[in-house]
Amino acid sequence: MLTDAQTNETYERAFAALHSMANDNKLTEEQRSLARDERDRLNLEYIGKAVSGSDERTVLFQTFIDKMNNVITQFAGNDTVDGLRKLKSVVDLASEVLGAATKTFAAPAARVIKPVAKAARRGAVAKKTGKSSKKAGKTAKTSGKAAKQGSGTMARPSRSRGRAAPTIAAKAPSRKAKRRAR
Amino acid sequence: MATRVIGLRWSIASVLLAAIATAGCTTVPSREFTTYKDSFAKARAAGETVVLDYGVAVAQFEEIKAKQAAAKPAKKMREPFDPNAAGRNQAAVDHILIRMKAWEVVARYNDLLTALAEGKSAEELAGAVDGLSASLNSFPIKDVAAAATQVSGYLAPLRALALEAAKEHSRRQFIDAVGLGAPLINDSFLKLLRDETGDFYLVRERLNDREISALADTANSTGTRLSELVSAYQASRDADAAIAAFNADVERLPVLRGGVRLVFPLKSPSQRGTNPLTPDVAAQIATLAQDAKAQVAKVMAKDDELTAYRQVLIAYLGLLNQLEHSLRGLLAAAEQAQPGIPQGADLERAVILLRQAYMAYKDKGKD
Repeated sequence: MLTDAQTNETYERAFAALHSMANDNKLTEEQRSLARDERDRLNLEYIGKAVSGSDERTVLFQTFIDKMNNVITQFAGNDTVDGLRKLKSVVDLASEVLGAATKTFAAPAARVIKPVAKAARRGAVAKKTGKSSKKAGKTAKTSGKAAKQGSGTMARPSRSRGRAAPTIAAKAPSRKAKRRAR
Repeated sequence: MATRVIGLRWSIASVLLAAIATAGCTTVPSREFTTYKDSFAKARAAGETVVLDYGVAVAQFEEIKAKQAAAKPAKKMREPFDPNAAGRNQAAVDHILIRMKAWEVVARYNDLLTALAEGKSAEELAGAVDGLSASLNSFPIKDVAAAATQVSGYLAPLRALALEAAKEHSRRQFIDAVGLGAPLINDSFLKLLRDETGDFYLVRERLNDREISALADTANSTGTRLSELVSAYQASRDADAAIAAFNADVERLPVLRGGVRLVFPLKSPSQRGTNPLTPDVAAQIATLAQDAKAQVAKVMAKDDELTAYRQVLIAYLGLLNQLEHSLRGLLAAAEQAQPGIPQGADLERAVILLRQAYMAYKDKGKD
């Protein structure tokens, strides 16, 4: 079995001999042409060998890539680092939950609770007077329903009941009614 | 009472930090790491260029093969069916891409080292703790917000401990990652790259052989015509000067194995013609001499091309050596950076101190 160095030397000697023949004026044109073809064929064959030698090394590169990926995974997915990540995710989750809770408590407090409170107050007044209690009760119920439907429905109440509610609720008991009650 | 509690919290934090500091801290060899990263960036740029150039050489080879196959169509023959060979052909491998990926994986490894050196996970953790603290403080229920003020008192020293512990852990991970990755890069990757330069040069050299021999054939042919023309007429100073100039150019060309010349020098004609040199013939000789000079110059340029490629590979090998040297420096520095006390014991001690400090804090609160 020839070593790489021996193979190269053999090629170079053969190539030089064929080149010499291809340019030898003592030979016929046909012989020179044949020598040229052989020189080119030999050359191409040896390029092919060098390329395939390099191609075989690709497997070793792939093995190296796999090993390096293992090292990276080992440190990126380490137990302690995982532990830190889990801890971080728990903390993040807690922050998210708190953030969401802060929003849900803060948002309806401004829009929904107020009308219900007003209606309730009116209900209390009606009870005191003994009259128009049915109306006040109705108003409170209507407002309560609207509140349950969420802030969107509060902004745009339904036609049948919701629209009537603000007009009734806007009517505060008149001074006459208060005097009568006394 | 409030000032006493605040003072106590600060003292807990300082006790913890002092405990961590005295427990033995790992230092990242940042100077060696920076040198290594610089060497890698240079070697990678050169390596990718060399690999891409090799890809071009292989494409040239495939083109020559395809042209040859098209020029001389082989006789159609029935071939035996080999399932292994057929399978190999179908799963074509992109050899260049895999080499680029090998550089990429080392770059990702370097990114991992950078993240560990900078303690990025620790910073993320600290940020998350801060976020939690802020959320608790802005909680709309009074009791929770009030409790948050107290919790923040524990979170501050806990955050300091967690941050420092995570950073220390990250630094030790850096040292371990260098210990695992560096030998792999040095013994496997850099060795493969070095060995490969031999194949790359061989492919370029053989392609150069092919091109240079074709150019030399043309120059030889021109030389032969020049020699034949000169020998057909009486001797003249111009004709002899043209042959001498051709031979001087040929002398500068490299020789093949066994001393075989690429372009053969012209012999002085032993026999000359009887006709005197006419101006037309003299002009023909001048044109041929000019053509031959240009063709010999092309052969020379082709040889220079290979010499330049050799220089590129030599410079590239120099960069690979630098990379190996810097990586060995980093590995040696990392081995020296190991603290004397085992890491588990350090952390345990710090946690015990935290517990003690917390219990002391609770007892003070009862007073």
